[in-house]
Amino acid sequence: MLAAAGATMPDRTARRRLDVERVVRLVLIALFGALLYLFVLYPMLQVLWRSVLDGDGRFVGLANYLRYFRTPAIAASITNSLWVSTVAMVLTVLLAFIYAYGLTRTRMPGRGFFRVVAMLPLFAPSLVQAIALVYVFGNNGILTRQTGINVGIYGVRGIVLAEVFSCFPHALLILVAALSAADARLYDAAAALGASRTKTFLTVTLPGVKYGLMSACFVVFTLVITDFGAPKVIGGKYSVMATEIYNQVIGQQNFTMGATVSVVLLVPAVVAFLVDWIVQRRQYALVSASARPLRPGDGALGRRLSLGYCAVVAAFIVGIDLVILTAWRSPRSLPSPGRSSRSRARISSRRPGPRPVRRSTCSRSCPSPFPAWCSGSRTSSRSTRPAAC
Amino acid sequence: MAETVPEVAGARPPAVALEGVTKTFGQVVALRGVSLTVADGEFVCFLGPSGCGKTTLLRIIAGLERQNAGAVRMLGRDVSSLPPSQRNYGIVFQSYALFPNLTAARNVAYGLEARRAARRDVSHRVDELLELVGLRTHRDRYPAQLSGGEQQRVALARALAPSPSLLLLDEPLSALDARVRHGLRTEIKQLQRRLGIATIMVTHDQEEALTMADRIVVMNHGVVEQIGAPAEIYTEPTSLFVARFVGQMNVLAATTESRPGWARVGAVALRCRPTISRAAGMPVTLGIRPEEIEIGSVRNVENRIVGRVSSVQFLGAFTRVAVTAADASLPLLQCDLSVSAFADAGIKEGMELPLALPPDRVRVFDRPT
Repeated sequence: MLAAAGATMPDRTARRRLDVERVVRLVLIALFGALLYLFVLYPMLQVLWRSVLDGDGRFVGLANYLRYFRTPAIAASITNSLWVSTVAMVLTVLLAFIYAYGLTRTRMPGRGFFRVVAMLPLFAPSLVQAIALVYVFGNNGILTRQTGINVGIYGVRGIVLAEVFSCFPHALLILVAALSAADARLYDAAAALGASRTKTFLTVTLPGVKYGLMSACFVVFTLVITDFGAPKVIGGKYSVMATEIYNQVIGQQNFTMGATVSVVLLVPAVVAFLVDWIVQRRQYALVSASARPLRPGDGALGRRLSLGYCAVVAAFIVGIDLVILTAWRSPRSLPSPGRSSRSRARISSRRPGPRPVRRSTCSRSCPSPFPAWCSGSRTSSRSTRPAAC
Repeated sequence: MAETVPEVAGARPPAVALEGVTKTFGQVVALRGVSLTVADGEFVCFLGPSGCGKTTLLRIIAGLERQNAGAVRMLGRDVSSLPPSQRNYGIVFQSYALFPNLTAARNVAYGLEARRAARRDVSHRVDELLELVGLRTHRDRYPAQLSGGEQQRVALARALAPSPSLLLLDEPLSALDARVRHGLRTEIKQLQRRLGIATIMVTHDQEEALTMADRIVVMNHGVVEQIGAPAEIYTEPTSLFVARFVGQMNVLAATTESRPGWARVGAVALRCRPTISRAAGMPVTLGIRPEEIEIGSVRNVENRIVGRVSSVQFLGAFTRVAVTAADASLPLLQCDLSVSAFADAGIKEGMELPLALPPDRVRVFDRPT
């Protein structure tokens, strides 16, 4: 009897604990389910639904999509987005790969410092990088006024540059993780078999980071194609899909077309996500349990090269951040890009083509240091606005 | 067989000659002035416990690690400061280290491609080697699709493909399960004989070393303890470390007596194998292998001990009997008896058993003080 009671007691408490666990689990699932529905699924369904309605709320099927692809000015935003995303992806991943290689595979001094500096762009949205670029390279930017050279930052160049800056840490984090997990035995085997540096790189290093590289590519591509801030601030007349949605909805009050573009914009992002997911699932353990961690070699040449490279990249990142900081601290001492927006407006008014945004946002004259059309953007953070607006 | 090796070494420059190789990692001394030679066509095993420096020594020969002092010569050529690619050897690692992204055939071809061999020759040689290790049908499989034994055979083929003058094996069998290990042991040995390639194998498995090697280099704490043929290492260990590391050994702490060739363990005086004469009262260690102890015999009157059987362990081919000597100063003695000898003696736990330690089997080692 006693023994039986002793046996059932812990059994009962265990069952009670299980019950509590189940309740907590259900509550949490319900909570997060509701949150996800409210903030993700519901808006997305709304957007999907809107994209098949006309302006008066009648169901029109895929008519909006047809109109979208048939309007050259709007359809151009697709190719523009793809082009910008691809270029930014290639550049970012390439630059981040060399940087990550320096951090993980050489014994250059200051690796911890360089790693921290490279993370700086994470603390500001791409929009801020773009604003800093306008401060430096804009029509009335610091560099432009000092040297008289206008690099023409508004457009593809500016967007790509800003995106490279803001996506660099994302790519770097993935690539550092990928490059850190190296199997020294494979490098030993390659060396013993007499492989050259190039052959070792192609047959051991690259295959080892294949999945990391693909991940980095997809992450950067998705980040860039869905980014709104940088193209809005520095894109000038170059229209990408994210800004096109904004133009349609805010500029022209065309909610259905905005929704249509949104759905189209979703496609590359979803595709990138799916491919990444499939790749991750297929990834087998490249580094087995018996792997020996790789000790970076002590080649002086590699160390110096990577030190030089990392120093240049870090200098750019710090430079951009310094521009942001000084602009925030002493707005008056900086050249007022507000004037530049006017001069830019003059330039752009000479160019043909409609600028739908200007209609709505430039009605209000504002001494903002940003191009006037930027003041319509609600995404810009207060702290980065140097002037009272 | 093993005795002829030095003469062969005289005819041709040795495949490997090490002269005073020293290696330190920070404060840790991994190797302390190691000198040895490996003759052409010889199979040498570096045997030792983990951390004894045997793998470091192999990596120095391979050029994957650089020695702090000393020279490495291959076939008379000084390769001390040459990179691995200019040393002409093949190496097999403990855990295969096949390139996971390349097929078996591409793995085998790797070294040939690195040496810029013509594509047709490469393909021909790859087939030849996969045939040699019996994996021709597996040429298009990836390492992940091969078993451990198959992977190690591919690794062996990969090492041999560029026809090196030296084969290095870094614990090639320790990652495999027992049956595959025994099969591959014979296979590697036969292959080595057939190709007549000088081979160095690192192992911590004494059985592996005893069965495969022409000569064994026993190492401990970065120093070579003894170099010799397997039988010599087993029967004539020169140090207590070698005696205990290779095979089993009963160890008795003793002091030398004034009579030469005698030592005293507590109250018992034992006659030992004649060795260099030591002063009386020196602390020494006596060693005798379990299978060398005789039981119940009356014809040998020397070194007789009476003990009581404290445990009996059946180990298949033989039975290990632990005997507590009547004299408390003697330690527990392990005796290995063949199945028939065990049955004849009718040994049971707790019974009294007379033992004899044949004097020519009682080895004397210096005891570090």
